[in-house]
Amino acid sequence: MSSKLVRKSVESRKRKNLARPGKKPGFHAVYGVLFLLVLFAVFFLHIGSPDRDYSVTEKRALEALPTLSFNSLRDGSFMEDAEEYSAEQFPGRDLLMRLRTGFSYVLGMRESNGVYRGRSGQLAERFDEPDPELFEKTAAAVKNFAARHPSSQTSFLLAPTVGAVAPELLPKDAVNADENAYIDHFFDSIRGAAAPIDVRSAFLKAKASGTALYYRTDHHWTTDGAYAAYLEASSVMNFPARSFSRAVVSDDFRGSLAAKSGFYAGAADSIAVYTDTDESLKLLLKNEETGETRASLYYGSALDSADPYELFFGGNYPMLTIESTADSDRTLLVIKDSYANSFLPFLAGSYRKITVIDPRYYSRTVDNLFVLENYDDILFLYNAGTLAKDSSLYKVLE
Amino acid sequence: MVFSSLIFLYAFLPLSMLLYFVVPEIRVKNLVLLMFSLLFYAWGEPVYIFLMLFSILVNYLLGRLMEDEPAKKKHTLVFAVFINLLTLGFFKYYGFAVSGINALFRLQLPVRELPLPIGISFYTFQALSYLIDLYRGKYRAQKNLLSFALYISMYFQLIAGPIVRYKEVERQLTERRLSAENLGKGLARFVLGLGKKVLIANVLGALFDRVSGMGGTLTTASAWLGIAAYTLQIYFDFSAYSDMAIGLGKACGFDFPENFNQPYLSKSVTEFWRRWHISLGSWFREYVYIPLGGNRVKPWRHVLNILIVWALTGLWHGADISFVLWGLYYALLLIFEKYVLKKPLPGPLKYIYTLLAVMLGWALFSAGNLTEGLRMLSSMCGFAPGGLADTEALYLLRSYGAWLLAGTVLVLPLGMKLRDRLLSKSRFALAAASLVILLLSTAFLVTENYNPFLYFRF
Repeated sequence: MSSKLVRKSVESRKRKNLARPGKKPGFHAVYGVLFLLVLFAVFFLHIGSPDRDYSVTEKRALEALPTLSFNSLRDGSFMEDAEEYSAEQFPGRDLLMRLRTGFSYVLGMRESNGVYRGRSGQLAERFDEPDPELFEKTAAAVKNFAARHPSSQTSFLLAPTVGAVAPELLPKDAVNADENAYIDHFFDSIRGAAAPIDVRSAFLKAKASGTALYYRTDHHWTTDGAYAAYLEASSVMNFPARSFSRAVVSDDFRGSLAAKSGFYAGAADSIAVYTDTDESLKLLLKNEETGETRASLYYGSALDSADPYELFFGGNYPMLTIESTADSDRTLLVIKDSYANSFLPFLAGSYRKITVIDPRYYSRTVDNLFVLENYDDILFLYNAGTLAKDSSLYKVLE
Repeated sequence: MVFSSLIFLYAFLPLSMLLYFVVPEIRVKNLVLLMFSLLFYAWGEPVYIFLMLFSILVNYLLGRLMEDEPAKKKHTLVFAVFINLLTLGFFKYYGFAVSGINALFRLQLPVRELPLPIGISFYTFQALSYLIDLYRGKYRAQKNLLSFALYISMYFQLIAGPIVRYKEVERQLTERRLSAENLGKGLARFVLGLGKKVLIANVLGALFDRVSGMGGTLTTASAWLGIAAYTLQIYFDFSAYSDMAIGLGKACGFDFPENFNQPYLSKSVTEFWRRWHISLGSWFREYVYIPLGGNRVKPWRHVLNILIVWALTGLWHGADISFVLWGLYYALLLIFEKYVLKKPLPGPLKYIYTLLAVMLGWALFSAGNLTEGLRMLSSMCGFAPGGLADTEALYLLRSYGAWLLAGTVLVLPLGMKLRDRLLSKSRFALAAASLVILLLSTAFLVTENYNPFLYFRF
């Protein structure tokens, strides 16, 4: 296509080109028009596709279309929100994320969004150097809390994550702060006030015998890992270990780390459930937040949902109580993160009543619970990755 | 707004191009372009847009005044330079100047840090070039406010250059070649720039950020990796902005001057600065260096001229003493090459020397302050807090090695050949490459929150 000075007006130029029969538009002309058409197609696809409130794979709320106002324009927050909105509601976002991590992986990148993709497809969250100030606050809060409740026996199960137990599964030379040193340091700091439940040597033994202690696509321990920890806890907390039967309930579980990182390669995980062999044991789970009660700790319907890990207790809630027909008059207070969700079913048959507090969602003071009743045992259960970054625990213990 | 954003790519760009090509006449097209340019700027600077509009109006009126009152031409120019530098100085250097005065005279004047209006250094320099060349009688004053506003604010080069001089686009403001052919060629140039920025510069930028964030664990090996990454990042970022600006300009019928010409293949530092950010170098040459007498003066005066120009060039890049020192560092190198070295070093030595000099410069430049810059430099010289090397450096090399390699290959003549082939000969390769770049860039922009704008201090 010949180019003319614009002064001669676009119309006349068009007529001239049309008047020349057989003159085909050049490659770049076609290219340019097609390029713009592609951009427009994406534009309309974005506008036309319905907005999602929640990302199923990433497990988080997504940005909604921002509202226009004088203030949001002046301080630029409208523009920032609009940029975020355009990215989070982008058509095919999940696929694009996988494309990006896949492309980068092929080029040698073993890390995405703070998640390592290690050997044999193991995903692991990076363990960053813990904040010393937060460490002191948390350790002191736990110690003081235990000292305030001398009639209860306090234990702390600080679970290692996969990087501490199986560092050989991380990418070669991956940079991780020393999680084992962190766990040692924490146990040393609370010793005397709370009994440490250190599962690491048990885990190393179980690992050597071929037990998969951690999911490959999720940051949690497997139910088998939780069971190994349960055996260790029973000896520290002085209750007899009960017997269970194991069954696999799902074998296509893709967990939080796959979602967070976009690393999808490799096989899915399976989820196992342990059932107490004492069939006469009856349970009553009460969600103190929603008021819902039920006779099981499991939400089977969650297996088909976006987050199959919600199989255990239906997710994380501020406060739960588990009452059982267990042949025991002991009560237990558990202060925990989500590692406890697959662990607590083991305890249900050993306690008359278990109260479960998740400080990340609990906004009151735990001490107030002792006004109503006393607990024979107190168990803190956290994984090192969460505790090292958690600023909610010391707050609810104040 | 920046080019490497989803809103620009999938809303602003197609809508502005559509409207621009649909409306009939050049004046209306100019109006469309101006409106979109103001929107583009206001998107990132909703308040400072008024500063830019003020600057446009004042410089337009000063231009008219200069022409209408030829007797007072000189006074008008002095006033114009003064008012432009005052505005630039107030918004960019006020905090720096006050803390400098405080340090010098041991005072405690309150330091007020204003957020720097994006692109102010670029558009102020464009306005100055317009007025100075008008004073020199190179052209008549622009009587059409719309055309003048468009010259200053055209969104292509508004926030990251090139610095277009008025004489380069004077005619194009009213007469320019518009064709679907140019649209395609311009967009092709744009998409290659987009790939450079999003797929290479941003990734290497993440490596540099990680290295510069290392405290006690920084090793000499990591420091070199980080600075190598930065060396490639700033080239692929900055030249990509120019590619995108020139490409978009071409799509709309403008011919902007080239801003980068394979700078890392220079045989001397002098040559490097003729190939790096060409429009800035020639601006300082034309409006500062030559008026000072250039090299047609006694050697001591020539040396002084070089020192002045490079202190100012350094300062232009950011209001901090480290940028001034970075400029003076180049002044010394240029003086060394002119008076001591005289001709390029033999063999491959000349390339190694130039690249090394430039990388050490970036170590100071990238830190943004003297303490950090010196820490990085001493780490590179073997005095790193973490020792010579550790496994982290190995890990980073494995993670980013492909990008470092790709970046290095692309700055070599091979990369240039590839680009030229794509842009002119291999049609289907261009179409395929464009689609792949667009898809991958989108994937990176959708999920990667690391998308820095390096020129916020310019």
